[in-house]
Amino acid sequence: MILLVGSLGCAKSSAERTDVQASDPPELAAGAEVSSAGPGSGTQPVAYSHAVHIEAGLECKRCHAGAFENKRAGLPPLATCISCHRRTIPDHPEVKKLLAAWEAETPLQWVKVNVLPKASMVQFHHAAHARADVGCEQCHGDVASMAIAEPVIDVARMGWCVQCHRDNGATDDCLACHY
Amino acid sequence: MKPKNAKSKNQHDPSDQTGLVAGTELLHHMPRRAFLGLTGTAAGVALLQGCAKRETVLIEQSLKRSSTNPGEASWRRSICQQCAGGCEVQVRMIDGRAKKIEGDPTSPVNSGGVCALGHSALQELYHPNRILHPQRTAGSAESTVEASSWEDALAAIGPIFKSAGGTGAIAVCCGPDPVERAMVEHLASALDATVCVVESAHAAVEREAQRRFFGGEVELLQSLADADLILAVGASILDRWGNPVAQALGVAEARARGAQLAVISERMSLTAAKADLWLPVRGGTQPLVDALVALAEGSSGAVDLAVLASQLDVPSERLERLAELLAAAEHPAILVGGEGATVEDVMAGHRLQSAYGVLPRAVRADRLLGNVADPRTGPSTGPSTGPLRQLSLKELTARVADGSVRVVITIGVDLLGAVPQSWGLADSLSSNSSSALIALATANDATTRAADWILPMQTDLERVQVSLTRYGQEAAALVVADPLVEARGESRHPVDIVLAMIAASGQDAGWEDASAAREAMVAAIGDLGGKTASGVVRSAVRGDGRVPLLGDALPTVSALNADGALAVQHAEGDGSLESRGPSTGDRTQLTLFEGVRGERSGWGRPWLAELPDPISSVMWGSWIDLDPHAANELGVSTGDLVTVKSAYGATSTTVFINPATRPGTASMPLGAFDPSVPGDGDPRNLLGPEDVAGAPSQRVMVVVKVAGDSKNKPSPIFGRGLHAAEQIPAGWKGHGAATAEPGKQLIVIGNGPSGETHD
Repeated sequence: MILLVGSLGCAKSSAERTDVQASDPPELAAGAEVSSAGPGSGTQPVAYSHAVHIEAGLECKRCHAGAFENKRAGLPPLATCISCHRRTIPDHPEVKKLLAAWEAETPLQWVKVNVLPKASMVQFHHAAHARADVGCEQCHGDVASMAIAEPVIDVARMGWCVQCHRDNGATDDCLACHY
Repeated sequence: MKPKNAKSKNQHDPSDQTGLVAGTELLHHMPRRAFLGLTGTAAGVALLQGCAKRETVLIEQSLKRSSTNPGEASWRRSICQQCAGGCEVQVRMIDGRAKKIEGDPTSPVNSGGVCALGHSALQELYHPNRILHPQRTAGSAESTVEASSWEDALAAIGPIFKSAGGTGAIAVCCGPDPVERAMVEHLASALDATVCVVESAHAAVEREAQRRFFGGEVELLQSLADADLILAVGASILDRWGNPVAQALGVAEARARGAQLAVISERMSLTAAKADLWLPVRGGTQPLVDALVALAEGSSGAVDLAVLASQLDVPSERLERLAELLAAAEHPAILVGGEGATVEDVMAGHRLQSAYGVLPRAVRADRLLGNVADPRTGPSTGPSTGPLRQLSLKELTARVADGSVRVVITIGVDLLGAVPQSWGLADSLSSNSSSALIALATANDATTRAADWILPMQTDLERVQVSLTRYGQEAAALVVADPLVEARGESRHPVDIVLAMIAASGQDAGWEDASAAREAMVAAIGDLGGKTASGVVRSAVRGDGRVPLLGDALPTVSALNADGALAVQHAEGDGSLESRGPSTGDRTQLTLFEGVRGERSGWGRPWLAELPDPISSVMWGSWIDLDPHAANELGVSTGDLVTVKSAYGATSTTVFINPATRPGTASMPLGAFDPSVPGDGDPRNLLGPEDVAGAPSQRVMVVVKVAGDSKNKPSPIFGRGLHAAEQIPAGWKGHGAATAEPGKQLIVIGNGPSGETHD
């Protein structure tokens, strides 16, 4: 049991914790069950390509405005997609899915790519990090080059978060994130 | 980067059985310390692996632009209409669902406060047993409820209206909110119907007292925050009377400047418990208040406080202290009414208000609202309306019984729960085959159980709201609010339902829908220079921190009377102290009171049920307040089960020994039961046919007996333990409790029509 609590890093105060896995790579640990989460193209309602849209000149905040203002990055309403795709490649098979959902007034159900486990009781505030000039890619990787967005960091691994907080002089108090 | 699905070199292959066998052999030779270490490690790893499993979370992409992102919380402002207080609230919304209700901190009404009743409005909105679709019943307890549709319901109700025939054959029952009442009266005129306001019994009494004293209904607006003495005569201003949130704020502000709170009441309410001075009276407040009036009018020589205290059986030092406070007060606020008050009690309170200069500052809220609250003129966009007939509950019961009212429509009120069974209203409705009961409701209650048609009504947050908001006791304003959440199921705005019913009967109500009705209401008051807009009042608060009295722009009370003077009337009867003194002997009078949870707001709401009563601390159930002497006579202690019987009904409940209870009196809370469950201990069924100003009398003589099977009693839940009663500051010495003896009876003489109780 001592081992367990120590692993979660909650039993010690932040001043005592010196053994955080500082060298955790910004990538998923081996064996993590990413595929079962289903963020691949087969599970998303539309095969949306970040790369194509970035190449077309869109910026992250164009669609994820919440990342700079709110706790959650959020998704744009379908109306935003339709405003362009009503005229732009409306015959593309994936765009047809969008148009069909719009006509049927049926909201699309997207699969969240980066999921914080509920059991960890952790809160992540996008705007707080954006205000601290933390770039999107620092946590999400090079989404701009991804055809289908996939997680590159296991956001459930606390060591990665804590190390970044310490490197940048941010708080490492438990209650800053766990509440 | 490691391959995502690469296997660790130490990962066990389930197909490798040899490793399992080898491990088993290893365990047999492992030292105990090493075994514990290994198993602990294994458990930790297993748990961490479990934590590493990713959760699949779906995000619903909204169709159209909104002010918030999916999952993002936002706060929207609205009005609480759980009581007539009209607090302004803010609601935390996530993805179109209301998650939390809090008071609006910018509101001059409640300044960020909201009571337990307001919090629980969410549980009305999302209650699993919420009525969401039209239903039809056969109108008897044995009937089964059938799901229906709006089309079928309206197709059936239209002919009912047509066949009702005759002026006043239809009665529409609504709540007490003046704006809602004005709307209902307007709609009722299209049906040639009468209106019956279903409200707290004390509100009906206060209204009748105003009619007799002032010649009409008035809203007495007083500033509690500015008062140097706040005297509550029967009115439990911190419990549920008026707007308790705003009044609590006013009391707190006044007290911070050194003001005192004095209470004259029979029961130790939360208000009395919080008072600087509490005068416990018995037999009504009128004798004591009349004596105070005599003191104010300079005839103190005729009043000997010591003799008076003896006659009224109140502590003389408290009476002397109250007289001193009143004499020293320059700006007293005096509030009258409350549980168990008679018309004479309230009229005596008005005389006290007049004697201490309170009344000239009063204003009429119905004039404040222009023609909104005046049914004779009505909204400008609607059809003209004639004088409407308004029935009291007693009159409605009589008309249903004699068949002159054949169709009863209830709009968000529990009519059959508001009247005792002894009145026979439910029996009259069910026995008359030509009568019909149509209930517009959100949850099941006594009325829906007997209704022929149950029509789903929107709750506060689902509908357009127009409400008269009271700024404590200081001012009033009309506030409007748009819906915050989408209506659940097939529920509709009550005005829309009534309009649809009127249209189904071939009549024209003049309004297209509830929104049009709202616009008409707002337009009708638009020429008052904005004095009634909450925004204007809020600006005034921001300017100088005080809500101004609006009396300058409005007729004062003195203008209500033809001769321009206050026509102070005296109570009926001789009103002598001797005739109204405290009762003696071993008679026990039960008074029903409205606690902090409200009268009939739905015990089915867990947040209300689990809220401990501030005096008894009882949760999840009802109780009877007994004085220690009576409990000793019975041999019961707090938590014991007793049966309470009157000449009209009986119920079982648990005992709470309250040293602050006057000997010979007892009290039970209203609303401490689930109205959706038949026979769930509604103490109203103990009440007799007597009425006060057309509303059920809240007093009845009862027999209290120890329940026979006390071992199998339900476990009462007391929020602070069973000995808390000893901590209540009482006016009398406590008495020890004896051992409960099943069947032992506290001798009580009934005062019903026959003068006896049935056992």
